[in-house]
Amino acid sequence: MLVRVDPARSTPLAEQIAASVRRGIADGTAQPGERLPGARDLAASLQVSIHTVLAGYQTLRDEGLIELRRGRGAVVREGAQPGRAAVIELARELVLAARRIDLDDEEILGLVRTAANGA
Amino acid sequence: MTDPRRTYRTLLAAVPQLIAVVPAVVLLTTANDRLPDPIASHFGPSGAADGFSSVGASVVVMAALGAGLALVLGVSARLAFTSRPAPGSRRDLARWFVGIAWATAAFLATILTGSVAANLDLADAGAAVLPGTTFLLGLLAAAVAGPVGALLAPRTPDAGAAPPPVPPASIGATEQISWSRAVGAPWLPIAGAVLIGAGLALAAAVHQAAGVGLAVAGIASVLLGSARVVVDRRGLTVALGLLGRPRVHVPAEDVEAVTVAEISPAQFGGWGYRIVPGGRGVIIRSGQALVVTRRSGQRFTVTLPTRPADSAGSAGCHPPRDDAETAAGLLSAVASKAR
Repeated sequence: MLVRVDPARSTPLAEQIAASVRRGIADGTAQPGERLPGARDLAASLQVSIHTVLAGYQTLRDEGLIELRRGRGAVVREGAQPGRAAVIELARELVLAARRIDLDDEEILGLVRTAANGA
Repeated sequence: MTDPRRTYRTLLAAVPQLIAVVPAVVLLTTANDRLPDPIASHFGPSGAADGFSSVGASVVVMAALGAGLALVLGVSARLAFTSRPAPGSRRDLARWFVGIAWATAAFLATILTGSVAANLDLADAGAAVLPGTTFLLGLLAAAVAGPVGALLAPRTPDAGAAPPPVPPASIGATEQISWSRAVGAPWLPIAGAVLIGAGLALAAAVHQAAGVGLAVAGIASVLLGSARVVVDRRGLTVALGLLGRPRVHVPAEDVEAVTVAEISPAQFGGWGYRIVPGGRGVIIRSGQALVVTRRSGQRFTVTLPTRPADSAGSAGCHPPRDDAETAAGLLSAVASKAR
């Protein structure tokens, strides 16, 4: 699994880490049951703070993609579907793209609702 | 699977073992009237006979020995050397193996024939003496037959040659990358647990010291049966075992070229941290491996898990990627940045 972060981009680093893991789950390079790199190791590897990595991992846990266990570290959840990870990633990208043109959250939800009704 | 070279190599390793027992068996069956029965079949260090068996039993034992060796060496020659030699190795281990098989056969033929000949024209097998020169003669025959066998064996294709270097992936000027992969052989912890159990049983049943070696080997294979391979700005790092220690590090500035190759543990003489001529490797499974050429010309090889073909995302928004190729491209990019 490949994690790419670029401090020059406007997206927060923690979100860039989470996005990399989502893509990894989506394309099969991070499979259910697989251990992600330890937060300390990944932080040193990317030259970011350990808190940044942990924030990224927490987002992924809230999305139901990984499990965080004390002592065992971060593990891709057994039920984590590649398709689901891909859709979550697309949703994130949609939100970021919409915010870039100053749409507010209600407008974004409205767009998604319209798209869902039309499909 | 039907590589004619492999079949040829299998026969080259197996058939000499069958031929090796022929002179002794022929001598046993045709010179019946000149042999005592039972004959001396085993000789002590001084050359004096210390074991006896009937002519019939000797024929059976020798035939079984030839057939058994032929089977073991033939199967080994067929299964062990499936692909190219170890990356960076100029030695063609498969040819060496055939050479060793021939040397074994020559030694066996000399000793067996010599031990039957020692019984010729004796009334009492107890008087049989195996001359010390038989042993030397056997070694001499082995020294001649070994190289002949190795030269006859088919050359493994592309011996010592490596696939072309993987071109560098693109990494942004301010971008940081960290590629990592856990490598594990699922059977290693199981084998380790079995070894520990056997060690404990042996310690309890036979002697405390007897089981220690086994238990230590078991613990080592549990602890070192997995690894994490990391490629980042610092280069390539392989952290061994559950504890992540010891680790092997190839600094980015020390990387000359990176390739991906198919390897099998036989090319490295087994699993684990291996040292072969021209390079080193962390060999945990067979299949795809990252092969790094250092500036010194030495190669470092680490095996990576092979992904099943259907593991790619079902949503189809990302094409399935070749993981080893990705890692090789990234390491190559990091290396050219560091230079």
